[in-house]
Amino acid sequence: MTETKRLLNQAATLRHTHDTRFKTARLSLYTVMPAHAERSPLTTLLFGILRRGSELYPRLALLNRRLDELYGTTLTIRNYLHGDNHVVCYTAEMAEQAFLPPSDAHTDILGGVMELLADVILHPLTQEDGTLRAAAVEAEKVSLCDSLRALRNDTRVYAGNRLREIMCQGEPYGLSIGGSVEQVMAITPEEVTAHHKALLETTRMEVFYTGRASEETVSAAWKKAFGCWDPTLAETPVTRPHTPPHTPRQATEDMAVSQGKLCMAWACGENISTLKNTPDASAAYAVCNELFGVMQNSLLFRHVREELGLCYFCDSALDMTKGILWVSCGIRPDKRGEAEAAITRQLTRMQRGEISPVEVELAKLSLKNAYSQMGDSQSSLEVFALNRLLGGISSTPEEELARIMAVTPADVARAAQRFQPDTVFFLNGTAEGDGEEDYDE
Amino acid sequence: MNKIISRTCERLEEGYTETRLPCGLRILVCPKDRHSYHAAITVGYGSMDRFAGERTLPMGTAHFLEHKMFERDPALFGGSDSYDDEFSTVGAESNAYISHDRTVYYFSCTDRFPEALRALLSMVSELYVTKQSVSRERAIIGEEIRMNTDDPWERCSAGARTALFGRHPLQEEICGTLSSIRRITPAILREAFDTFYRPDNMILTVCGRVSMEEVVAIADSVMGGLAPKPPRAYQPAVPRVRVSASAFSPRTIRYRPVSKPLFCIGVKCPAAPAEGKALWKRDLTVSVLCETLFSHAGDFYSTLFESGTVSPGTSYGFLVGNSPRLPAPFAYGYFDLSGECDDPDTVMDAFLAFVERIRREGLPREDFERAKRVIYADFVAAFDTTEDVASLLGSYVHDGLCAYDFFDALESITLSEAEALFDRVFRPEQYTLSAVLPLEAAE
Repeated sequence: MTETKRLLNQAATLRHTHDTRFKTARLSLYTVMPAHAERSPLTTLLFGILRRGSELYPRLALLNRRLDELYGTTLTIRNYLHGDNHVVCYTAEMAEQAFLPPSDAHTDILGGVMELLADVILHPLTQEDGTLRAAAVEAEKVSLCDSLRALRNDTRVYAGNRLREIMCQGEPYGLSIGGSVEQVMAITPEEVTAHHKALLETTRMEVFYTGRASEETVSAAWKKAFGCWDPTLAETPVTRPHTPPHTPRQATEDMAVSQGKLCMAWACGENISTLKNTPDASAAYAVCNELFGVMQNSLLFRHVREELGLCYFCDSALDMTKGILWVSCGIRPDKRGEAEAAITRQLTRMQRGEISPVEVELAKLSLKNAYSQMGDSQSSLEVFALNRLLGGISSTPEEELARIMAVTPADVARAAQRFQPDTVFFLNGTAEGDGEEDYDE
Repeated sequence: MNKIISRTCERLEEGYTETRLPCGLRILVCPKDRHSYHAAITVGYGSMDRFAGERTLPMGTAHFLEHKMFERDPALFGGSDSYDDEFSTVGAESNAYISHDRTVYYFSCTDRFPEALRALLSMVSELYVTKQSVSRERAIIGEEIRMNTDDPWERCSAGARTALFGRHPLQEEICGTLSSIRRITPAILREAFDTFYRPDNMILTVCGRVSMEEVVAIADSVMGGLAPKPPRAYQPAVPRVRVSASAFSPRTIRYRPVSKPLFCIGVKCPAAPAEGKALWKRDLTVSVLCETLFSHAGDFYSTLFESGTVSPGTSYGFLVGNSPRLPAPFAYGYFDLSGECDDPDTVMDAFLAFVERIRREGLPREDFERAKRVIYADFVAAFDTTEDVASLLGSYVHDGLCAYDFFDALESITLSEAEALFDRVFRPEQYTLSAVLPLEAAE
């Protein structure tokens, strides 16, 4: 496996990994921009419109048929917040030519995928005046509004989103990148067309490729497809850590469901960028989170689920782009107080240093397993590289793992002590009955 | 140990070996140069298997047992009451899942593979439960049931399954219900364990930097002492389930706090062949047929999407199954198409019209050929990770078959075979529409 980096133009960089271990190759194009209350909904809407058809593939069906012809290439578009940045990523996973039937062994899948992506991104269908097709804009507006309303359908995701919005209100990270229904419905075709042009003129594109094609082949395919495009580089701001409030926030919403969702957050006031020169502290935070609520036998799993039987799931997550520790669990609404106390008790235990060296070793082993497996996954390596890139650091998985393995119980306690209570959000289940459907055995 | 059979595939540059221990455990090993190892043990026991000898087990027993298999006697393991401790100690990540016809326990690790494999095999070889631990687990599973009950997609597809299958075990909740799990006791779990957790009812699949000889040595050290058991009767004395080729109800509506209606069109498929090559071919033919008809590249989806009738994300799924553990009338299969829409009845009308058009005009050859390419690529991609390989070997390989026969089987599917299957599957009396509507629609 060899990794190289090459500038494709002023705004685009190719990070190429030559790896012959896989049957599929992976190509991702990331566009990264600051999250913004007005521009992010336009971006979200725009990328939905672009997926509906392009000059060469004017209908969705034709676009999808082309992907199928390219031996079932899958195209995934992800639209998400990465700290204070808004990221849109196109990922194509395509069969390596070596594994195609002999009759199709000469199909140029990579070239075909690049051509399709360039057409989708650079050459959308427009009306005679150059404006994006009004029908496509209107249809996508309805679709986006539906998806905004549908966020409530998954109560776990909804509760997590509400916690983030309340906790980070006023920061880019607290935004809904899809905007509100009212905001989306007010967008005109002219506005979204102008936004598309502005994005094409100034942008930042990170291209990742992992597979058997050489760097020259990938680079040539990109230049053939995207060669006519010459933007200037948009600088990406470095995300700032979230600052915990003086008084922790609490919020509750009712919903007619049987299970409540309790979401809690703590903030440490540091993040991946501010810890650039003290990477050992980053490692301690990672071990702290692993022990708290990630590993197989985490504190939350053992004490909140197994001992107290309060929930089916109770997990933690650490977002070091903002320095936030999250916990999410599903409980009976009347168990809220008990669950909140039990979760807090486990964090307090860590803060007091009431954790054994064995527990810390197990957390480190769990992380070692995760880091070691990273080398087997094209997507994991890509996400790792992007996170470090946007955080402005350049460590390798091996370097980070070495720091993790050096973490001591005292380091974990110090990391835990940095987390201050920030926000608790409770989605209160108000459905009548006990979650039992009528069922006749 | 029986002889070791080698399977290789030049096209994929892949190979695996298989054998069976005297105790009956079947083992498949695929060596792969990766950092990670993945091992899975598939037990031929799922939520449908409600009949142990003469007794009918409460709904949710198989799932309850899956939870309890991680527990062990602390008196024998230095105070540790969970195999989770064992896996954590060697840095392995383990878990389990269950479907209608199987329970799968697995782990992945990058180090100390022999110890992790020993823990996995020990875990499925013994059961330790107490009244207290069963009671505690009931509360945890109760929350899992509430979580599923709140999931509108789950409710929508459950509505379709119930309408299609009446009282067939296939439509039952895998986790059981709050009332059914109240009836599960340590004695019931013991009976289920003794009936189904037998080496001859398990398949061990392993992928990573390991040989068959190494795996056999470990498996032998854990299970080698187990004597083969005499066959057990799995069938109920009298099948107590009404069986019909038709759906039991054409339409089911539920109300939930959703923003937009959800739909699930269910189609009951005729019984699949019992086992082996014929079942596999049926499974592949259904894959190709469904991809031909309902892929996002096809006319049906794109027309509905572009007209705003359905939301992005509309998708299809199918289950082609059979089980030697079930009497013939229990053979099953179904297809479903689900998504979000403004009006489920409009989607159902479009579905009916589309199916009638295909019946008149036949399957488009171009779509059929394209579907075969997609299925081909999906199969090839499954060899990228140790996890996918171990999982594929466990689920695709039936007795006497080689996973790589996939290519010949796929190439052998003809348009006329797919059309013949279409005629058998897509019949109006076999359809049902399940919908979940917003609460406001009930007012």
